[in-house]
Amino acid sequence: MVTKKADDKYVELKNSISKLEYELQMSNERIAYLQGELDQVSSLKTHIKKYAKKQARRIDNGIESKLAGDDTFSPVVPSTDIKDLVKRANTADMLNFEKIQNMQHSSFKLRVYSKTKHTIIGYLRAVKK
Amino acid sequence: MAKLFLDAQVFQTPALHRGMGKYSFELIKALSIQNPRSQWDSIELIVSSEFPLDSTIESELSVFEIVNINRLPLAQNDILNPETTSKANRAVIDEFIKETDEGGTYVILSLMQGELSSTFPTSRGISRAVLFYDLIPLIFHKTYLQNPITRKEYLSKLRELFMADIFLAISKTVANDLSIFLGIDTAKIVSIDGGPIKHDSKTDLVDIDKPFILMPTGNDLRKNNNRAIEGFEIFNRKYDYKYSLVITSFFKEEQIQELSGLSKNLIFTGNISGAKLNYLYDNADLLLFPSEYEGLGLPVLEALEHNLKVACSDITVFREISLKSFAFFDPMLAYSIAEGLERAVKSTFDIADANKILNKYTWENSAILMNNALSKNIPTQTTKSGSVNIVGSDYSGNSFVSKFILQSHAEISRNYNVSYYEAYSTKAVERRINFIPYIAEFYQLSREQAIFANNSHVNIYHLSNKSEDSLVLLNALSVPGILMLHDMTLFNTWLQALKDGLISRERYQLEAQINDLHLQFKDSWIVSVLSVQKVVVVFSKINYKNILAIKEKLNLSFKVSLFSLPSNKLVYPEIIASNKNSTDVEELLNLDDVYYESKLSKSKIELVSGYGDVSSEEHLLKIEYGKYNNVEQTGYGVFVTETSNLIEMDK
Repeated sequence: MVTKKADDKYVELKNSISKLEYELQMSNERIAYLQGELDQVSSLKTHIKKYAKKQARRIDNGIESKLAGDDTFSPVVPSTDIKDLVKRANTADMLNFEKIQNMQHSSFKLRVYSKTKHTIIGYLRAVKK
Repeated sequence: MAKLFLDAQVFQTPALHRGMGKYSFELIKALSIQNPRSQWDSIELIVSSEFPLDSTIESELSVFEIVNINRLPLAQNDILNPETTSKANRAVIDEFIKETDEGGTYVILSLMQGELSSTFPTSRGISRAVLFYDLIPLIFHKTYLQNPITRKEYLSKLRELFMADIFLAISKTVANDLSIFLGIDTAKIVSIDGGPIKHDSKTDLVDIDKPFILMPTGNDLRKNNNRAIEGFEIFNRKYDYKYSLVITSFFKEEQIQELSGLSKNLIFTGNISGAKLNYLYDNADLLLFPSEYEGLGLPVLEALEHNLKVACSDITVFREISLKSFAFFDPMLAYSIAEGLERAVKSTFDIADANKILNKYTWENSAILMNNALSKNIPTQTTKSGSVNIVGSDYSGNSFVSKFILQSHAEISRNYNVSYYEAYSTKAVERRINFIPYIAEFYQLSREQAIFANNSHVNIYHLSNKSEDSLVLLNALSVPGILMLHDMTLFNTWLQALKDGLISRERYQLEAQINDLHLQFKDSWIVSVLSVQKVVVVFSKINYKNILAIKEKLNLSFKVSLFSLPSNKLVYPEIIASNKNSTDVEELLNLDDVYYESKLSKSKIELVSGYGDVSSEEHLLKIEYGKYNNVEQTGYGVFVTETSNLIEMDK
């Protein structure tokens, strides 16, 4: 009787081990599947992030250049006399200065936009931390 | 004969029971007794009528006939709007001084106390002095001033500090710090020392087994409690845990748990009465004082009064008291603390030396030193003679040039209303604290707001070969002013101006073309910016000669001035350690100001001779190195006087 009981117990345990092994295998497969899914999502996330950043930068540059107006002053100077060159450089600097100064005065919108943008970026960075 | 006005509002704050309150109280008592040459007609204490005054203080000080207590409607500090409170309080003080109708000296006893808004009078004929305890929050700003409200509360008080005509420091160390970290003229600073404080005339028994070591401390990082306990553990293990360490002051339960994990035999007393503290001083084997920094360190003097041996940190404030009476250790190393304790245990108490120290550090002597300092003919502040703009970059950052701007403020703000323009504040590295926004007109320049456009004032540009200076360059190219030229090449600055879109590529190429034609000083990139200035200031003879050569060659009209590069100076160089170690210059150049000064004072470094070929950083390092090695230096006072002469010429 004792031997019979022990055999039954052995078979019962062996069955439950097989069941558990099967479950473990299933779980591993599920994990592998989910991992695959996750990798795809992550890569998609990175892609979307990169795309969004690129678009944001494009829009930002567009707005800034629209609000800022023309580029800085560019002199044309075909000369080799240093005194002459310095004189021309001084004139160029004055014009550049006036241009930036006018831009600053007139471009209130650019200042507001820039300030808002930096505040939002600063806030997002702080939240992320 | 005149009156001595003392702003004594500190007695209406919790600081009354701490170092500042106790120091002020002992000093007033000594001043009242010590009026040997009848220096003062009366001592007028000024307190606020809005808050109660401690009755013990009032009754003890009322004993002195010379002392009058005046209650004025002085408001508490409004943190959000400190200027409004100080303006209102100043009007009250001015009115009071006017009523008294006599000259005198006005001393603020505790200017930096957060809740107070202590202000100086503006009345003519009154000289202004401040009693100063320490610059701990400013020096260790990364520990104490990270909270923006605390930062504003503390730094906005520097405006009043810079109005003082004389600075009474409680130790030579604090006197040196005022000059090193704030650039205050050394001639205006005097150390008046201090003395041991009698906590109580009685002694109350404390139930503690002997032998024990006493560590009077506080719940503060700079008190260095953790390392001290680790050091005590190393020491005590060697002596089979014979000693206990008695730690005073209040600690939270979790802090006690944490500290108790570092060593056996610790006894935490919490806050204890003066009578119990007397018992501990009388019965301890020695005193352990491991602070990383102290303004005066009264417990060391108190230990000597109780014939107690002392093991303490090797920091200047203790070195100025005595070089041989204490067992010094490096507070940053637990093993060194253990060695210090062992040396102290094995030593014998030198009573003769202790008496010598105690005879020097008395409240009577402090009162005499204070009276002497105040009896000198103190030049009082005159009306400001105009406005100037100062333009530089990254005041708190990596550039040594920004040190110029911060350290010259104390002196230049005496003569002028100064507006500051800071280009590119990276805030990535905070090597020193930028206190300017809290005490003066301050504007930040940016790519969007690149030009400050103010031709009505004299403009002073600080320009060096740093990318951060591109906006300074942009302004200096167009609005003439006084150019402080710190480097003889500006290549990096031009390059950054191009990258930032401040100048066009063609303009950059034009400067390159000028530079190429300018064969004698190729790669300098300075010709255009020099050509538009009224004055160019340089800091070395070689650069002076070079700039003159450029001026003559191109027939330019600016004036060239040669200044000595200023250095923050020491009021008391004799307290600096004489043993020096070799140090790497690069390492020094990258340290925060507090560690830079500390390391420089103990350094032995090889510096390149001649100024022409070194960067502005190395040039300044060389000059500042001199102050710790008995080389005569030009201070910021002289620098500002020379600058003021140029400003007056430029007007």
